Amino acid sequence: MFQRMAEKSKIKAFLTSPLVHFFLLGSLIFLLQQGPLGAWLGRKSDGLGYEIHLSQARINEAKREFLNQWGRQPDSGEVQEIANQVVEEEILFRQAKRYRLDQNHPGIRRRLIQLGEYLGEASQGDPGKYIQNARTLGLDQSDPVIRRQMVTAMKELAGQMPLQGEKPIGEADLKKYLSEHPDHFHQGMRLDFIHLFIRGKESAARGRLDLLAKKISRDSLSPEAAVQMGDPFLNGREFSQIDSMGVQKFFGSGFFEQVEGLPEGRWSLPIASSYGWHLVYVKKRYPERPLELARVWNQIFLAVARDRQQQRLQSRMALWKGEYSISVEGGGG
Amino acid sequence: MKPAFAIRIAAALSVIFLGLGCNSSFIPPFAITEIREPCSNYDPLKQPFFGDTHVHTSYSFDAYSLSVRNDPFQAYEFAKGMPLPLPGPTAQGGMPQTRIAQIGRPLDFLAVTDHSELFGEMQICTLSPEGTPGYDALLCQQMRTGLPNAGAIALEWGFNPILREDGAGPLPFCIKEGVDCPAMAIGMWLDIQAAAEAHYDRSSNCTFTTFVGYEYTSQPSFNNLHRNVIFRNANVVPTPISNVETNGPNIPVLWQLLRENCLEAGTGCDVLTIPHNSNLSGSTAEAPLGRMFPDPQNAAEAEERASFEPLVEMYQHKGSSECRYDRLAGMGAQTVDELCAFEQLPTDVLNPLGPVIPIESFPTRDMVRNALKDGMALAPQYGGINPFKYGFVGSTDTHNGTPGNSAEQNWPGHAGSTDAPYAKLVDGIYLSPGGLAVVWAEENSRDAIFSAMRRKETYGTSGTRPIVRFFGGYEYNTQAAVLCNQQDRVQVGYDLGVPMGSDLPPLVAGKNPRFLVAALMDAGTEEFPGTPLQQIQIIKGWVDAEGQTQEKVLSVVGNDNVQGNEVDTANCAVNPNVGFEELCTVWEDSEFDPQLPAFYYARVMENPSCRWSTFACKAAEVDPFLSETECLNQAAVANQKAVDEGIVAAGTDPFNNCCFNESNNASVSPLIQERAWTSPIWYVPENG
Repeated sequence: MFQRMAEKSKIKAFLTSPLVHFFLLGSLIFLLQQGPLGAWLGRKSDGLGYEIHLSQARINEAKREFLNQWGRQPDSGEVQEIANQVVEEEILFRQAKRYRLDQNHPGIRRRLIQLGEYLGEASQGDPGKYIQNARTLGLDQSDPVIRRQMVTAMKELAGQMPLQGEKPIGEADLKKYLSEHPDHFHQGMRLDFIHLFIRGKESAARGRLDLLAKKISRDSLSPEAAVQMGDPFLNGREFSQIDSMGVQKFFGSGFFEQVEGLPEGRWSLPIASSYGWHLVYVKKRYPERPLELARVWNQIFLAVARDRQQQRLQSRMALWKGEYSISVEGGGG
Repeated sequence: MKPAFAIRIAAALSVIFLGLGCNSSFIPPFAITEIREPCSNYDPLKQPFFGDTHVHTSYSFDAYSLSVRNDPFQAYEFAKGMPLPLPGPTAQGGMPQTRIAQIGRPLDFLAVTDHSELFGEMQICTLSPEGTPGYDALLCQQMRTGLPNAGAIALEWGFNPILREDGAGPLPFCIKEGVDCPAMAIGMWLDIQAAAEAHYDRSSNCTFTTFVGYEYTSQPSFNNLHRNVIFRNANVVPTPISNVETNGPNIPVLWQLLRENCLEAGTGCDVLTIPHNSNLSGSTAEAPLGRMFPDPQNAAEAEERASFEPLVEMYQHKGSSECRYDRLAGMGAQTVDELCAFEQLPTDVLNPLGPVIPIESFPTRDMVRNALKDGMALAPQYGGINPFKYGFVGSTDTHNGTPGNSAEQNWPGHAGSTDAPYAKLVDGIYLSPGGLAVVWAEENSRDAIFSAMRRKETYGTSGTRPIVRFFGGYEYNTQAAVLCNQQDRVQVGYDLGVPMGSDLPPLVAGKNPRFLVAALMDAGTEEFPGTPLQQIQIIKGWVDAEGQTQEKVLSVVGNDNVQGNEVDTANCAVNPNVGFEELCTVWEDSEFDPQLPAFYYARVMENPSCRWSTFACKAAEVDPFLSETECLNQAAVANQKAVDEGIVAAGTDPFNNCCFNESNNASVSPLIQERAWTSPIWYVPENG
């Protein structure tokens, strides 16, 4: 009995101890901050606010920037887009402040030091004081260079933070991307061919080529042996995986159109180029084809990763916009 | 992640990171300094790649002031064949864009080289939002609006950073409170790098190569000392080293800072600088022969120049710097080569209002051929280091963001609104479409092309695309009919000698150097067929026993005279039956003296064809082929029309320029002969 009474006393003392009260109170606050009330508490306390008002003056300013950049007035759709960009940049800036991205950013630090240097001599070469002075005057919020760096940093961070339920990029993602972008991963026809060249475009040259063609057929010469009978061609006598642009470069316009349809393993009829006459022996044809995934794996992986970063940013922006009260003077036109 | 998936990722990355492709034992002859797939189209005997290493976009202050709005991203797209807009003749502040430009054949490689001195100012004034410190400065407003006029803006902007003799600094608004031009410059520099990366084909297709670059724009008192700074790969300097960073014209300091911030930075950075427009570099009391190629202060500087500058841009939109001849005076700048009356500007400085310089007063070393000769003569003073041992390239120097746009037939100009057709275009009659850089490399990748530039296996053209090979050695079969008809002549060229850009191999006792040269005419396009070749010449320069420089120009194959029927002057159609599709020969220097240093380079001449101005003049109904009187009558009508349309001011007569010819102008004619120049091959007696 006495032991039970002693234990109850201990429990009562524990429960009434200030330390425990502090612990419980702190735990309660911590738990509240994780929920909606916490968000409300956080918003109220960070000083950045959740109201954004886009004035007509600001919209007109953005329209002037567009005019300067593109040499014409933006149309109504572009004005809407401009207004949206201004709002999103403000959101990104405030979110960057909330994530304290300006605290250790070297570029922002340098900029604050520079701004602080202009403010007075009292700081006397102390970078820390320069920064403090600049912050005191709110230059970390208003300086356009700092704002730009903050917006960029927040975009990068948002692009790197996986969304809830997001799975790592897998093969299925890559296949889907490839199927949706066939034109981006597509290879034109290529040829392996060897050619016999006779310089000159006059009839004598053509006659000489005709004679050689007959000899090749009569003697069943291999392509490599056959080309030795012709004239040397400065651009080379054998080409591997050459496409239409390469053929145009070395033979002139119109040549590729004459060889692309040639069958493999047979000599062509005489074909004229800018330089003379040719017999072409196509060794292998690589038809126009979509590139297989293994071939462009890395390119597609990077493309999917970039898309995913963009999706993350867009999703986060949508969520953040939901937390803000946004008003546009005059409807944004 | 599933194991099979992970294995695929690892395999793909290892292929890329190791860069070994199918044959894991294959090692190319050039250093690999970047991660990319090996090219499927690889040729150990090398292939010709056509490019442009001098291009300005809207990121350059002067281009922007001329209402050009094509940025580096768009410039790369143009090089691949996409059309771009250009400003109209009365455009101001970027409006209106009334023309479209497009090249008929894409380039293989490109470096965008905007003026680095004003990156920060351009970023603030043209690419930053209102409210950015400096944005409202008067100079910024002028740049954006184009008011009062492009020339005044360019001069205002260019004076402090570029034109001073005694230093260089930013624009005045950069020192205002809160304005940070150096920080903003980094943004533009990053954009330039991003554009190069976005357009560089790192796949095994190797369809297009980009180089990160910028222009170092030193122009004291309008003396042109510009260089294009070209980086080998994506490891570049943190911020461009411009004329401002070197505090004015100080090329050795440029090299020193590039060495510290690139070559010795431990980042894998590599860089070279390509000077251009020595024809406009003027002279000073300290450098009376020419300011682009002054005598080095010491051997160290000579070595630094030789290291950083393997190439010179010998031809571009502001004329040829090979050599100079005045056909009216009947004399040249240390030459009697009449073919040097080719695309020459009247003045010797980069100032449209610069004085006309008579040929007898022209700084001789402003011409590259003379600099090459002088370099050999100077070498003994620098422990054998030849400070002027340059290989050749051409480029355009377009300020339209339109690289490689060098065809005469439809040239829209290179400087935005200031030369929009036709009146303003022909007003700049001495300018031209510019040239191209051609590189012999194993594949179309940064490492391969940059390595080729370093070893000078390059040639320049005046805008067309002939294919040219040039080899030197002692063992070539002098019977040209034999060697030129050998299927393996290129292999023989490499096996028994050296290619263009090299030093001859060690002397073979009792033998003279022999040179194998072969060229194919430009195949052209369906719309603009190529022009047949006329001849190949070999230019020899040497230092004689008395220490005097000498030169000789020899026609080694083809027709050494114009036939007269190469062009139909009624419609500028080229006669395909005159001239040669191909030329090839082996030439031996029978006057060779093994005691005397020498260089040899090949100049490939096309048949005459219509100059760009002839096409422009005919389009404006002024025929340059008429007699001078008849031509001027037509010009008067065209001038009045241009005045009435408000394109040119009253009292100006740009179309009178259409009537220039051999009898009344030192170098401009209705016809020109396009040409290519191979990098030289040097004979160095000390090499044995």
